[in-house]
Amino acid sequence: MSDSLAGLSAERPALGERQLHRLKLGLLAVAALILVGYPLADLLRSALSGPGGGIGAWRAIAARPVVTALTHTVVVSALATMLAGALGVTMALLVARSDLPLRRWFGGAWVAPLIVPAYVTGVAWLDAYSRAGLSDDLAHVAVNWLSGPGGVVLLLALQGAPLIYLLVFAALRSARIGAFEEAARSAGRSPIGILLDITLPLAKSAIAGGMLLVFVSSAADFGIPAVLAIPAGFTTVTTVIYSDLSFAGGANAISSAGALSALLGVVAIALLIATSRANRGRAGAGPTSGHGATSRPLLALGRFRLVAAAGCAAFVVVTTAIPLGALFITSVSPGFRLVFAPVRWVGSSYASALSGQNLAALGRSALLAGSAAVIVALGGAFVALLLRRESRLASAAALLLSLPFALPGSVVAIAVLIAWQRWLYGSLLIILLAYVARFAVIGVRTSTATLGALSEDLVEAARVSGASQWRATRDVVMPALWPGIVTSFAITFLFAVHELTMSSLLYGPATKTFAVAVLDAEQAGEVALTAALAIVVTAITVIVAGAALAVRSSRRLVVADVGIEMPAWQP
Amino acid sequence: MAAVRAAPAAPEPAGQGVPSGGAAIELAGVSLAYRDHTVLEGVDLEIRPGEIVAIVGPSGSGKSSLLRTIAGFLEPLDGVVRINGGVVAASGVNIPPERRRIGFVFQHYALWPHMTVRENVAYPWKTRGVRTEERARRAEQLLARMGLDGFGDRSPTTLSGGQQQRVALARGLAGDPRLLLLDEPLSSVDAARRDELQTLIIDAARAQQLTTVVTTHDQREATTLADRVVVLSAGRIAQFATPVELYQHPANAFVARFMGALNVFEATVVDRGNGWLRVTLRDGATEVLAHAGAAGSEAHDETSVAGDRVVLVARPESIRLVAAGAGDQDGTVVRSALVDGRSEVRVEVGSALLHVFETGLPQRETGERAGVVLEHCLVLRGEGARTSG
Repeated sequence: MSDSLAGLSAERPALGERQLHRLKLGLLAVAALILVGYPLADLLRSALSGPGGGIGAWRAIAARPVVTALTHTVVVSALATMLAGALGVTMALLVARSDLPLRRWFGGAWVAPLIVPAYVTGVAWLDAYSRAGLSDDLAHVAVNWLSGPGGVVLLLALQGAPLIYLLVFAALRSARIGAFEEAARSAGRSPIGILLDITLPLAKSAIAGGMLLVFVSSAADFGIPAVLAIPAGFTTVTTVIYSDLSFAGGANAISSAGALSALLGVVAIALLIATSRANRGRAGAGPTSGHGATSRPLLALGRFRLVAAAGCAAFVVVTTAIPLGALFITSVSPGFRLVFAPVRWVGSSYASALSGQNLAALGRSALLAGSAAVIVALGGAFVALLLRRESRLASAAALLLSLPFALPGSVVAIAVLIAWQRWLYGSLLIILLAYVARFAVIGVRTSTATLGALSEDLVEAARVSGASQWRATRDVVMPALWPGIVTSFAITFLFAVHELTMSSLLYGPATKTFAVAVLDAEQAGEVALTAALAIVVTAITVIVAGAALAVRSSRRLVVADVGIEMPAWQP
Repeated sequence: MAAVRAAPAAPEPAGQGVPSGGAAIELAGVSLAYRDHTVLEGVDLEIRPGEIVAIVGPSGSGKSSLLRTIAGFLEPLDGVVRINGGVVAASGVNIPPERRRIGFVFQHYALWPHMTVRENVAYPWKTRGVRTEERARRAEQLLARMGLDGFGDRSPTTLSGGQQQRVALARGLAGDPRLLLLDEPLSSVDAARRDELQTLIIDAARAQQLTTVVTTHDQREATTLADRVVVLSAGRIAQFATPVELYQHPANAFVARFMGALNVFEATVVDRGNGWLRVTLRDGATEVLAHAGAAGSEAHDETSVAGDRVVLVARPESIRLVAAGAGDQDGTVVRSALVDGRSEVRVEVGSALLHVFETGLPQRETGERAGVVLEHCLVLRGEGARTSG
């Protein structure tokens, strides 16, 4: 046996491995450049110097309508952020620090609406509370300002509040803050005093980080203004980019949209850097304790317990249950007015929602989402495997791939459009490129986190047991990676299947996606059809999310920390 | 691979024997660096077939790196590694770990969570193409030897730490390895299980006549397990010897201290006679008279002359406490306690704190003066004193 080993000594098995590794790195670099590097560079180039871009584009931005839209976006986002902050912090304090009955249940109920696409929420609120909506029909109560800036602020705030709740709740659960509160308590401070002196100051960075996040995601949101602002003639940056491209057309439109996107992108990145700074402070808050911070709740609600619980329940009913209920009732009601007009059968809206153009759009969305999810999941696993070896190139590519998720969807779409429209305009491929670019980070982070939990010892144990590198990867790494791949697939599919912002900017005559079909039906005033389409897309989302959760809990999956920021960028 | 497949089930396949006199593991001038940091420097080592060798040293001394270099996880920067005479690592040669035919037991077990206990243990045979039923049978045999009958279908995550460690050992023994390498195998096992595992490791190594290398930071573990012990200090071999040699003739102060000597002093010889010498300690003020025994006796010093730098090792059990003024020097008792059925006394003599073991219950009071006689001291050459940190 020693003879055979001596014979081996002439070989240099490491060499082929190294070359293969270089090849993979090259592949990754090319993919990152195609998906992200080139489009973003081209966006900047065209914003600064492109045909019809450059000075002209910036002059277009300086024009009054655009300045108005920018002002609208800033004001609306700021107001929504403040409202969301107040709501989110209250929610977190109630769940983490009070003796509110059913507080864990309420925590879940407040976060659950994040799964509903933003534009569906908009449609649902219109069906519930606008003139001729459910409340008008039943009680002659209508919220007239819903369609317009007021409604945009309210819904952006309701969408942002759960994010702030999650971040602040996590901070309040940290053992450190709990210990400081107990110290103040033993020093004789009153609960409200402790709240003001200890709890809120220590949770400050989480609150600030959450609010910055909500501000950026509100400014980047398209779904809510598309449904509530466009019909009212109220403009925001994202709706201006959309209408520039959809209605004006031409190279100039693309260039000025590009300039506006570049501006939006730079602002978003700057704010996100600020967010991560704020969150770094939060990370220093120490590990979260396994139990609640204190056994005795800081805020004893006393005889107001039931009143508070009723208030919370009413909040859930008004903000979630009634809108979704109204959406469903509208979807099965025969005509414009819903009450008792038994002309057509109740399923007629669904019949047209699931036939012809709409069915084709649904098929396209499923195909696009499925393809994007496969590419993101497998690509993410590939990147995670490459990142296991130290490599600056791989780290840089991974960083580049994580950028589009942080950028507003409009910016990514315009960048992809400017870079690849010459060859791919109006094709499904350009939409797929945008989806993959934007959601790539889900695959990379989930798989990296999954592999991070895999000790290198386990791989080495296979190597000494006689397994080649390839075989050790197959026998040990892949089984560990598989749950991460499944999770990335599900999350990416979830995001892509109801994606509106990028799809609405990139679709061509033959490539309309399902989300765009919802928006079109809404803008055409087809109330029942819109509701039916919205119910279908929500049902798909909920089913996929439920399946992902089931897989996750059954396999004890590691899910990356994209969890918190994901909904913020819900397309 | 074909030759491996043909290997019979017997633990020591024919033809695997080593040419008599050859080393099972041989390292010549092996150096290793991680980034700018030198991990191993010019390590020469010859381990004989069937020998159990322990590598000890403080954390960061490079013991794990040395083991991983033998396994093939690390590629030496310089030098040659041979296993059973065949070169496995040299410049331009690096046989990957899977082709070195070794069993490796990881500190934190590294059992694959997605495989059953039996699949874990059978895996080394699986990679070598042994049929499913045959490798399951062999795995069960090994598990039975480890006292783990009936655990084959369990998931390793459901086992206790000690059970997991035994599964890891079984896997290390599977696949008919030529060498068994264990990285801190007992460090994460509680004291009660340690003896049991130690016995299992020794029995397995002896039964298969496996050349075995164990790393540990615990010198007691090293001396109980090993035929010979490598003491590493900052990436260099400070001494490679049997436990008895290490105890009797530590190469320097570092080895003496590391092997558990409590009273080790760097000193300069002032005067010497037959069987005694007078030294001053490092502070320059404390003078100590020590008895070093005659030439040829267990503790001896033949060579040092006045002015030499030496290392003085005094065994706690060889220090006698007598009435104040009746010994070679006087000291002050600073502590006296009952430990393991004998009294451990600490006596200050000038700047030196001496640990003394006396039989019987503690009888001395703190602050009491006592005469101190240092018998059977070891006197080491002073070069060691300078290299030790």
